[in-house]
Amino acid sequence: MDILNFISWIKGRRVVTSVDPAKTLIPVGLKDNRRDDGYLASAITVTDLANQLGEPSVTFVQGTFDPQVQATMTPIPGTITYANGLVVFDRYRVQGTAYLSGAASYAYLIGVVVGSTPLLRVREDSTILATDTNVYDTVASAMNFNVLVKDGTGALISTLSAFIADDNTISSPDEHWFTLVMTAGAPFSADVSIDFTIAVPQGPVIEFFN
Amino acid sequence: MKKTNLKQYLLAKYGKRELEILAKLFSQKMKYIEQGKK
Repeated sequence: MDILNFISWIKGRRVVTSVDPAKTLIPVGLKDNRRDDGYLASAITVTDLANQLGEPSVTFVQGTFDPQVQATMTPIPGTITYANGLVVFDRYRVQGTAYLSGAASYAYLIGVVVGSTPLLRVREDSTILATDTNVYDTVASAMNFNVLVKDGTGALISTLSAFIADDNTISSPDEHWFTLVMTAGAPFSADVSIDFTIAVPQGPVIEFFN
Repeated sequence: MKKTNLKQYLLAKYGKRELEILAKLFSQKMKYIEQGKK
């Protein structure tokens, strides 16, 4: 498979920033053991390649402060741009699981996102629910919803609150402590699936610790 | 994004004494939230 011409294409200023996905081909090397170099030159459309690329694999890591919670953060494609066009946000998806048992209220640390003071909470990859502030309640109340959980007898009861809070007043403004909060009128147990998306302005490198 | 141990991160940045204070502060705030005193 000879790709040396590729360099001369770039020098010839044949680099584009957008294409018609259905009509544009990308060169690929198909594994072919019958060839001396092991690969056969071929092509795939941009559309077909994009459809084949799924979401990245997720590996949950047990939290050091709250071992009942396992979570991870993964960068996801796409950006959010403010109407003025000046601020572009990258998106990161935080996913995890938590097992709650034996109490009527829980506040478990999911993880701390470090590296950017401005940080948006977004949901379903598109809708901005609230911008983060230094006050706990703004974001938490916007995200609050009630769910049914099992009490000590196995009967279903409604939670009084269930939300994921972002608090960046604990250590440093660029350290966001994300916490799962659930309360009910009686001790309950529940398996919780954590899945939300955040967005931070492009530039700073952010990290996730749990 | 491979570093995931929060305790190690906080310990390296703030030191042992400050880490204990942060952990206590976090715990107190969570108790406050749990009790519905938002």
